[in-house]
Amino acid sequence: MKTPEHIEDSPLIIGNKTFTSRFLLGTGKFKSKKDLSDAIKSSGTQMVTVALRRIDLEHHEDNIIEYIPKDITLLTNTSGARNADEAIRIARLAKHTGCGNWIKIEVINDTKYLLPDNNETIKATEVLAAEGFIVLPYMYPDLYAARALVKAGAAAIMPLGSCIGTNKGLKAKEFIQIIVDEIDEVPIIVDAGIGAPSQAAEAMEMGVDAVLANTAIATAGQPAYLARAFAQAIEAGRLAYLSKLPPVQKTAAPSSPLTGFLYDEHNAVTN
Amino acid sequence: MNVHLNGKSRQFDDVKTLYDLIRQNIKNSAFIVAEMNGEIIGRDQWPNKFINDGDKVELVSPVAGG
Repeated sequence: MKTPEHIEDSPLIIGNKTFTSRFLLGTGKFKSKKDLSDAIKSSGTQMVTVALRRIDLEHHEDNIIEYIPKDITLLTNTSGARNADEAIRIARLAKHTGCGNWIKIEVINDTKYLLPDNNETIKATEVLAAEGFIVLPYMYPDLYAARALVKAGAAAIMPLGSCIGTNKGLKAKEFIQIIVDEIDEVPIIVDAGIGAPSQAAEAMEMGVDAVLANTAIATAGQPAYLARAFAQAIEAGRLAYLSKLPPVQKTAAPSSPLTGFLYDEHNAVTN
Repeated sequence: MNVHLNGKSRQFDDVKTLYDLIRQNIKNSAFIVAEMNGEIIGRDQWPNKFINDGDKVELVSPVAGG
């Protein structure tokens, strides 16, 4: 008998690494380094994102890396990049910080909706993958772009659920589902807009391989609690996906046997 | 000597190399990457990279981000 203690699941493999956690945590917007540190521990995450910035020489700040356990994979994003060239420059700088060669490509040239530019993202992916980076591009959920990113050497595809920081959940659900159904070569990770554990579970039930969340957790009253809730929801959603969820039905179907004895056969009501 | 450091023009009189410049301005140089006139300079090259008047230097490090 298959029990939840004997789940048959394939591991999440990205690039050259195998992950048991399917929860990627962003480190931005936490009120304190302690909140971040607690959330990392509570989440069980094995990969966190960081960004790169020019050092403020007037105001000394602790280095973020000191608050991240050494066994956690660092995924440096290219936030601030407005085109492929800027993303490539950030990635090359990141490699020299000692944070490794895992890059989340994020090319955004729109300040209102913060939508990623798929064309520039594909260009940057091609260059950086050829240079040996493990490239995880953040993208607008478009099947053609997803295919181009795979061809360009992406190690995973990261479609947005909804706009960054909105907590709106899977507004792009149908288009993410198409990518999940059609792209088998690399993992699909939903990134951006996931504002509650229920939304993360919904993404995992669809067959998404992992979820990246940041704003919701960082800005919650108790970030560590929500980080744990997300982890549990992601696990639950994965298990539901593996269970092969039954389809939605148009009309009601009884879940109890019809009583039979209450009515004569000729006037029985089938409810 | 005038160096354009992290977007600001600054005066340094006792700086010879990139290593000197970083040591004078940064407490902890772990996880720092240096770019000089648009070229990334590896950590092992900092002591050999001489600073000239008008050089443009960027010092960058990881920060929190999503």
